[in-house]
Amino acid sequence: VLFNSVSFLLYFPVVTLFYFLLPHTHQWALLLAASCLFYMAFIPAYILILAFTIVIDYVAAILIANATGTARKTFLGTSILSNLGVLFVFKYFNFFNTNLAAAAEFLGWKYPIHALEIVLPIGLSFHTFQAMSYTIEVYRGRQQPENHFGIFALYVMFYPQLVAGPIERPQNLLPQFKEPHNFHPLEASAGLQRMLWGMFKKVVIADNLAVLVNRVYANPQEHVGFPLLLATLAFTFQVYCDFSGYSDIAIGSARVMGFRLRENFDRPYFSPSLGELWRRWHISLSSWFRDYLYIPLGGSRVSRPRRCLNLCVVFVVCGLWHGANWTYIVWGGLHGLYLATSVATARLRAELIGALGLPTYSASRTASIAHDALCTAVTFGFFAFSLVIFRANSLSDAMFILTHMSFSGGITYAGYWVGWKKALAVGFLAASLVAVSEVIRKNRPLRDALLEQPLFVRWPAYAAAAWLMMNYGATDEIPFIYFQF
Amino acid sequence: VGRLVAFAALLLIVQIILSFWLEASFPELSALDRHLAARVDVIYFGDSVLHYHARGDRTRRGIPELLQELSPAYTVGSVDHPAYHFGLYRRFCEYIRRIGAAPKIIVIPITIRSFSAAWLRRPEYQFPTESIILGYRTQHFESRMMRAFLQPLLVFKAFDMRPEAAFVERAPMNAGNGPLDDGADVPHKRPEDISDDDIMRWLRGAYMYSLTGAHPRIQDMLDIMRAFRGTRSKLFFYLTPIDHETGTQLVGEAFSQRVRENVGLILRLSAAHDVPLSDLTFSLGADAFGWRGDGKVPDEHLAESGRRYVATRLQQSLRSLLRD
Repeated sequence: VLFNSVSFLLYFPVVTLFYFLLPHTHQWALLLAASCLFYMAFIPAYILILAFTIVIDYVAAILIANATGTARKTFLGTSILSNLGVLFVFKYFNFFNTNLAAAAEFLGWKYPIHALEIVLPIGLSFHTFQAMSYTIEVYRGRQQPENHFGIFALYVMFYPQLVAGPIERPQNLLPQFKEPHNFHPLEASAGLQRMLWGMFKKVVIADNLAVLVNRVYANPQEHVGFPLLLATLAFTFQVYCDFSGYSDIAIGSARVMGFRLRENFDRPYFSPSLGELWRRWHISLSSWFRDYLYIPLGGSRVSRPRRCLNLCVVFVVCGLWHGANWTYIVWGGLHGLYLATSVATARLRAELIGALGLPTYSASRTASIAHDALCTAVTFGFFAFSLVIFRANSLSDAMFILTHMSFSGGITYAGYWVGWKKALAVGFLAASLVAVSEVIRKNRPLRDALLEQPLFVRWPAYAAAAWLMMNYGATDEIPFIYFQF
Repeated sequence: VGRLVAFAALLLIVQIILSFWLEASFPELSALDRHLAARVDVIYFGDSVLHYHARGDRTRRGIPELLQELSPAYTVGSVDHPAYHFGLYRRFCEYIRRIGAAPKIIVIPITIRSFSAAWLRRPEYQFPTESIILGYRTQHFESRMMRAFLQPLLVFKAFDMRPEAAFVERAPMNAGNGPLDDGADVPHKRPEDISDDDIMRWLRGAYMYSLTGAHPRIQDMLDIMRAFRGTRSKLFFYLTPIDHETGTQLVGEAFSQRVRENVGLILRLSAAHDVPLSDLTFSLGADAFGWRGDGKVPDEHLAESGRRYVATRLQQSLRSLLRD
């Protein structure tokens, strides 16, 4: 299931080769079989969970399209409840059960329900949300129900994006399965370049930084001072490179076969506000919440207090989506609170700036650059700070890290950095390279800029990325962070 | 497709050429290679105890450096990493034997806690990558192709590096009267929240297991002794000092008694194989350890006085060994 594995490096070309050798009418069957095999590499029996979701949503969509009045709502509700039910049992049951048991113990009551001994299926939240978007779109009349069961099953479990997105919409992905895809050298080349870039981010940056992050965050109490700060900064880059790297590989591998998946990241760390950051970070998820939760709650067309409440609700749910732990809920709540505060104080801040005579955003080019830089730094700082709660194993760990990190101290013995130095140096240097590339490219993909260069610039650049990956990638087995969600 | 093949060929050539300078390695193996190339007299393996320094120490020099100061007549090269254990030492020793190197003495400290369940089971103490590299270097040292592609194969997870469950489970770990407490590992608490009870549980798990000859790390130790029997290189073991005063104070006499029994097994085995062993287990008082300053639980990390003591004792033992 790992993209950065020899197994995938063999699996992907073989599947792609047969995909292009087969006639168009059979291509979907091969992709479906390949997707099943890919998913079953984790826990084979869990394919039944996917099958359940697929059957329910396939039938529900047809029933919704053919029904009228309240029956439509009933079918949609049944579909959503089934999807969320699966999610609840496998992902949230033990969390709620543990908390209820703790509450019962506190009150001195007997609590007879035991925890379920189950392993969370990988990518459960991703394919569940993708399946839900299909039935909701059918209900809204924006999507015709898919009558071809195999094609619909492939929509839910298309293997490049099965376990960690991007979370697709039916309007984008479903029609692509019906179009003939012939091998196109330029598409394949673009896809491979994208995969290479994604692997570089994952293997060279994210996995090297993970060496420090995992050790420090596993037992934060064993570290104080600078290592906590450094590990937090490292995690800020790790999580971005890990997830955007995964998305790059998913988008790239789909593109080799002629599919266009949605973009998932757009230089989020250069966002001047948190709202902007969420429009550029995990775009397929944030737009899902916008379209299927925030707007149905009233969006921004309601009173200001109600809008603030909506933001908090959406982000708490978004936090819970990430995992069944109080850390994710608090992390989401914190983001909601930050955004709600910025909405609530927007007018007050504008008045304050006017009253103090401070230069406004549009006053001059220098003022706007300074304003952007300051806002970007504050947004990045807040996001990095919030990631402590996101990454910590518990809220008490998060509190310990936040209260014990500093710019100095904490190196308790001379061998402290042994085994970390090289990984950290490689990780941070490569992260700087990515940061620089994102500054340079602005609104233009790096690949486009590189394509304009002559062959003797392009090939050494690709070769250097591949060579660095092969020789300076981390060797520890570090799964993609978002696989667990 | 033609371009892709050409690119792959280019990458292949670059990788093979550069593998003359760069190959799968890790700093400790590179250090060992450097020491062996420089023909140092004493190869000194070890864990974090070797280079730990406590707050308030006047010098940050580790035991190998202090030993070298005391012994200008011979050269000492250390190969150490936090949490190294006999499993790794065995692989390093096999590698030394395989390449035909013959340092005069190989010093291996035995941290008695390294036989504990926590040490055996902690994921970060498994060193799977290092084991694969050392295993490969031992078995296929001359293979240029393997040298060129071992690192990429490691990066792309070509090897199953998960710890072998059966290996961990067969380690006979019990506290004499029953299985070890769950709290045998370092308590995951802030230092100020750690109670005497926590430390007691830690001490029982870390030191009061019942060691037998079937323990996988003891088997590694025996393999090392067999490998160097009758060779030009002499082995020298010593038992790292532990904070027995704190142990006895918190757990009682049973602590020292159990540790003595475990140490006794190691002493008997080394004597049976004619390997000199210096037992420093109970040689230092609580003041010689640094854990109170920055640690959470009693461990073997030594303050400056402790490091100097160990270096002096080592110097005395090695002098007589070299004379022989």
